Amino acid sequence: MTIPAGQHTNSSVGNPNEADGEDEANDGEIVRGFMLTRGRTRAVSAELPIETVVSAPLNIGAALGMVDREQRRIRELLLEPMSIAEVSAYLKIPLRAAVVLVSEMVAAGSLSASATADAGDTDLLHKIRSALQLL
Amino acid sequence: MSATQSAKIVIAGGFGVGKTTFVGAVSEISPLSTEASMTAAAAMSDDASKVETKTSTTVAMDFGRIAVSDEIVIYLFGTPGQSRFAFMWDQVALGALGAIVLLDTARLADSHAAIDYFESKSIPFVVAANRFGHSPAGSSEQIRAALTLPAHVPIVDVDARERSSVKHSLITLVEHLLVLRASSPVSAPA
Repeated sequence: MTIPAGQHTNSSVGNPNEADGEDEANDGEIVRGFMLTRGRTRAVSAELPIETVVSAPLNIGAALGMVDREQRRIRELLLEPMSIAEVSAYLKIPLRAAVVLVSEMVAAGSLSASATADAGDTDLLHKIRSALQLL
Repeated sequence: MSATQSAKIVIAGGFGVGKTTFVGAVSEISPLSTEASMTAAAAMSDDASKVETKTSTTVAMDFGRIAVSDEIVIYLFGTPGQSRFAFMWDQVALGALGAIVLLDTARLADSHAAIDYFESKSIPFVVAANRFGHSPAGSSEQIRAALTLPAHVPIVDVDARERSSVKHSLITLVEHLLVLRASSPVSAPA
């Protein structure tokens, strides 16, 4: 997958004694997430899991009358399929807001979503084990 | 990438225990960071009372990705394990294949909340003790006793900086999942 330039986040890798940086708390972002979803904190449609891989079909978009800026940014990013969590990270949208926005866009047909795995699928687990062994 | 299926594994652990390092050791992308916001409802709960006077809080969560095949991709989510972050666990962990509780043997208590959570949600997990130079070299059985872990929960040593070591932890989890499936063939946990 091509990572859009300039959208990497800095992460500390390599030193387990270094603080992960994941537990730092900040104020204010909740307000931004709230605004992105126009005040909704739950999707109108069923919420998709954060690992759901979504993509933007090429042939729809402007035709659906999407004037919403965040929706346009999401569709532009999703010319390359990726998970909702990655949408949140690359577009710097809080995770909660990304779930709500993407779930609604999938329900509206402007994005398509792949299946998420069934934890009881033993064939899948065997495939994952083999792949990890080769990693 | 044209995944037709995605799955997730949760890496839970206390602050500074090496979750991001663990994820970065095997991820095909540099770990990415996303923010989870505490909802107003969560902010009023008892757990959130520890977050001092803040009325809204966000916490960064780092994650990575492993392509298993052209059709299957796995996401590894590093999740803060302390109970004050419980507001975000359902969103991250529900539906996960399983979890790895990463712990520092010097701070075993930091992992209690995550273990209790995974047990309560029937999310299978293994425990991985990240070996820090300063930490006591407790045996697996000492760790099991201190955390009152059931006998079937695997405990492994890991060096989160080492790809092969992290791989071993992940394979241990997947094999644990296969053992659980084999012993309860009726259906997967809800």
